[in-house]
Amino acid sequence: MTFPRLAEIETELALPANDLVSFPCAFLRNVTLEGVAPYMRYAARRDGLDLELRWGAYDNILQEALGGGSGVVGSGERAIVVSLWLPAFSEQLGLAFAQAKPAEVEAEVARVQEYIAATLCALRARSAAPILWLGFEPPAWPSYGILDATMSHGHRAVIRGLNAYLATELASAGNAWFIDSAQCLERVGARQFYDWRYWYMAHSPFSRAGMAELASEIGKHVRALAGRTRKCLVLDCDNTLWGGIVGEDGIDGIRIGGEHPGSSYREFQQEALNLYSRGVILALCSKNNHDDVLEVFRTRPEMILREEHISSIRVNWQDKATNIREIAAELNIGLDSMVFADDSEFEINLVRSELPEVETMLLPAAQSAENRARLASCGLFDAMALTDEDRARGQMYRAEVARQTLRAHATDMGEYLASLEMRIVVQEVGDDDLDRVAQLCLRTNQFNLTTHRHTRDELAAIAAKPANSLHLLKLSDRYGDYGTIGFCMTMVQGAEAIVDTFLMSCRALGRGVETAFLATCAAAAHRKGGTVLRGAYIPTKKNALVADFYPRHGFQPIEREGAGQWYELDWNLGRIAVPPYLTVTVQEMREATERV
Amino acid sequence: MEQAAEQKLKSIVARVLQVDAATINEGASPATIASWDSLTHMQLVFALEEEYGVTLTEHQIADMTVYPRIVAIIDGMNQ
Repeated sequence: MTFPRLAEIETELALPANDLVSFPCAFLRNVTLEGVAPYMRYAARRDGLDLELRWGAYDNILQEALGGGSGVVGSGERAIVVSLWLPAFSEQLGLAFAQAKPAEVEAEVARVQEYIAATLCALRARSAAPILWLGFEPPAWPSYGILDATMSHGHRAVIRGLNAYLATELASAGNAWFIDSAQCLERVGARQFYDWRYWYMAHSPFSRAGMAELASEIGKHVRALAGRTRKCLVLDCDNTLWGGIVGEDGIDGIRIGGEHPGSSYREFQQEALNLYSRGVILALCSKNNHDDVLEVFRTRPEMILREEHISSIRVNWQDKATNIREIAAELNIGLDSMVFADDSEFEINLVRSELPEVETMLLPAAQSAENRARLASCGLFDAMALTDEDRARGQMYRAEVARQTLRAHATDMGEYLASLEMRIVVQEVGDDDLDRVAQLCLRTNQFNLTTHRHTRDELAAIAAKPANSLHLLKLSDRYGDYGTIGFCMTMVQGAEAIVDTFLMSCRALGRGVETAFLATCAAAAHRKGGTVLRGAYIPTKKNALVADFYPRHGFQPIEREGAGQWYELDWNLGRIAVPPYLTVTVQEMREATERV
Repeated sequence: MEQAAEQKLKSIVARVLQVDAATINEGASPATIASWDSLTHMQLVFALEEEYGVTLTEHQIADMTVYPRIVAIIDGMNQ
C-alpha cells in the first residue's frame, strides 16, 4: 500500500476510532526497527485492527523466545513477527563473505540454522500465535561482485539456501509463515530500500521507503490472519475495464487490447481474472445501459473477462452506493468484504462516505498503465491458504444468483425448495479438511454462533480425541455444487454434548439446511453418549442473524458457565426434525466408526 | 527563521519527541528531554527529511545536539 507522510499518519493514529479489534503483536528483532511502527499501525487500522506492537529487547530474539528479555512472547499476542537481520547477526555471511573460507561459511550457515531452529522451538513451547518471520534479503552487491552469479556457493546462493531452510522450518513448525523480504527489496530497489546513515548511527538498516514496504507486507499477513481478507471486487466499466465510454464511443469504439491504451485495460482485466481464479467474486457496477455493457462482454473478442466470471451485475443509472448495497445483498456478503474500483474520483468519494466499510481503489484513466500493478499490489484479497473451493467460488456465486431469480418467480416456498432437489452430505473431518475448516472458522462472521477462531493445529488436537466430533456440511442441488458450507464441532463429556462451534456460509441460508445439519450433528453426539445438547450464542457485531438460532430449534435458555447465552435441548424431550425436502447422507471416517 | 516557520519546526520536534511544544526551548537537548534518545533522534531525522523534502548529511545528523542547531540546519537548507 502507499502511505501518506509520517505527520499525517501520526495525526490519523491519534484520532479516536471505535470498533477497532485489538491485535497485540510481539516483534522480535536483532536491529532497531521501531520505525516500522507507524506504518504497521496505520495499515492495520485500515483493516479495523488496533495493532499494539510489543517490542522484544534489542538483539534478544532467542532470549525473548525463551521467555526472558521483555517477556513479550506468550502474553496474549495474536502474532509474533521475527526479523533476524543477517548482516547484524553474522558478519561473515553479511559483510565479510569473500574473506571466509568454504568451511567457515558452512560452519556459519550451521550456526544460523541452529539459531533459527532453537528460536522456533522455544517460541512454540511458549505461544501458539502465528509466527511471521522476515526472510533474509539477498545481497544487492555480493562480496564476489560479478563472479557471484556463476558461483555455486556464492554469496547470493548461500543466502538463498538459508531462506529455503527457514521456509522449510517454518512450514514444519505449523502456523508459521515466511515473509519474503526479498520481494520488498525488489519492489523498492536496493538503493532506496536501505539507508546506511541510519544503520551506522542507529542500528536501523532500512530507509523510510524500506520500512513502509516491509510494514505493508507484514500488514498483508496480519490482515489475512485476522480474517479481514476482502472477498469481492466490484468493478466499474467505462475507463476501468476498457478505454472510452461505451454509450458515446459505441461497442466497437471503446479500447480493449491492441495498442495503448487498450493494451493496459486488457492486462488490467487479466489481473482481475487472476483474482477470480483465486476465489475473489467479481461484480459490475456501472452507470450505463445494461444491454450495451452486456454486448461488450458478449461481442468484443479482446475481452478477457467474460460474462461467466461476473457473479452480480448492476448496470443502471442508480447511485453506486445503492448498487453496491444491492450487490452485497444479492451475494449475501458483508460490505466490509468488498472492494470498489473506479476511475472516477466522484464515485470513489461517494462510496467512501456512504459505505465506509467498502474499501475503494481509484484507478485514474490518465494513468491506465499503472492500474494493473495497482490491483496486483493491493494485497486486499490475500489469504493464508488457497483451497479448491476458493478456485470454484466464482461459479458457485453465479449459480446462486440463478437460484434467486427462480425463487423470485416461484409462488410457493415449499414447492420451490423441493424443486431445488437439495442433497446434503454431513462428513466427518479428516486431516485433509483441516485447512478448509480453519479457514471457515476464521472467515465466517455472520452465521457463527460462537465465533471461536480455531487454528489448524487446535483443530487437529481436538479432532484427535474420540469424544469430540467435527463435521463438515456439503450441499448440492440441481443448479450445482455449493461445496463445503458449514462446520460443527461437538464435545461430549458425560451426558453433556457441548456445541463448541456451529457455523454456516450465508450463501446457503433460508433452505432449512442448517436445521438438517444441527439434527445430524446432534444425533452423532448422541451416539457418543451426549443426551443433553448445550450450546452458546456469543453475540458479536456481525452475528445477530443467529441470535434466535437455538430457541428456533426448540432449545431452552439455561444458566451455565462460559461466554454468551447458553441453551440446551434434552434428547429425551425433543428432537430436531430434518426438513422433508432434504436428502441427507452421513459420511463417517472408518477409523472413527471403529473408535466409537 | 520566521516565527511561523519556527512554530512548524517546533511542533514537528515536539510531536516526534512526544512532549509539549513549550518544552522545546533554546536549551532543549537529549540532556534535558528524557524521550530524546538515539532512536527518537533518528525518527526526528525521518520526520524532518520528509517534511522539508531534504536529505541530511551524516555531519548534520550528528550536529543536531540542541534545538537551536536544528533550527540553524533546517534554515540553512531552505535558503
